Amino acid sequence: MLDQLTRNGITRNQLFALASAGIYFAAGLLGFLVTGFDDFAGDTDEKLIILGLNPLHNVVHLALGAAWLAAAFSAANARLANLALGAGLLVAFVLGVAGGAGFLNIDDAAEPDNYLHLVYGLASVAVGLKASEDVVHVGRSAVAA
Amino acid sequence: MTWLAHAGGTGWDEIVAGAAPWIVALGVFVVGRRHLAARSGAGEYVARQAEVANVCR
Repeated sequence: MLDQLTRNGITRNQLFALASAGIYFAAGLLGFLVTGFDDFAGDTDEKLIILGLNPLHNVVHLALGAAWLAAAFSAANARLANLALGAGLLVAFVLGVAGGAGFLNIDDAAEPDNYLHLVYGLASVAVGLKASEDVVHVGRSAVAA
Repeated sequence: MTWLAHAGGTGWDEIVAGAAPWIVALGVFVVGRRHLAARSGAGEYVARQAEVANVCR
């Protein structure tokens, strides 16, 4: 699959989308090791390092990873996904700070997860807006050609 | 939807709040796709006009 993705080289947006997919898949899987499947949308004390979690939050992380991975196969989709999912994370930050994300075990503005959403959302939107569409990794067939 | 309800929540407000970021994300993605399609469509139109002009010439 990775070979198919990198055959003709990838752009910075695709690289960011691929890295984000890995990060969010890992967060989702590690999160399930912490929370298990009980108390699906509950207000629990379970944390991944300092980040509050529940199983629903883990499902959202896995879905984000899947969306980013699906988008990484095309430069245009990767750029749009970075913009779109970054915007989604910024809305999640606003909701979390406003106290509207208790179902994700984010109780108030003091939760560190809010600021991770803010930083990752800003980074993602910045990459989507600013990164050039030049190929940064040249695949094998591109070299052969 | 009781599986989604947690202490203090009614369920529906949480569903709306939970959906909001991803509705925004979907909106950005769909609008972006249309924008790109319109831009490439315009490019094809210009190229076709140039081709027609060449044939006529």
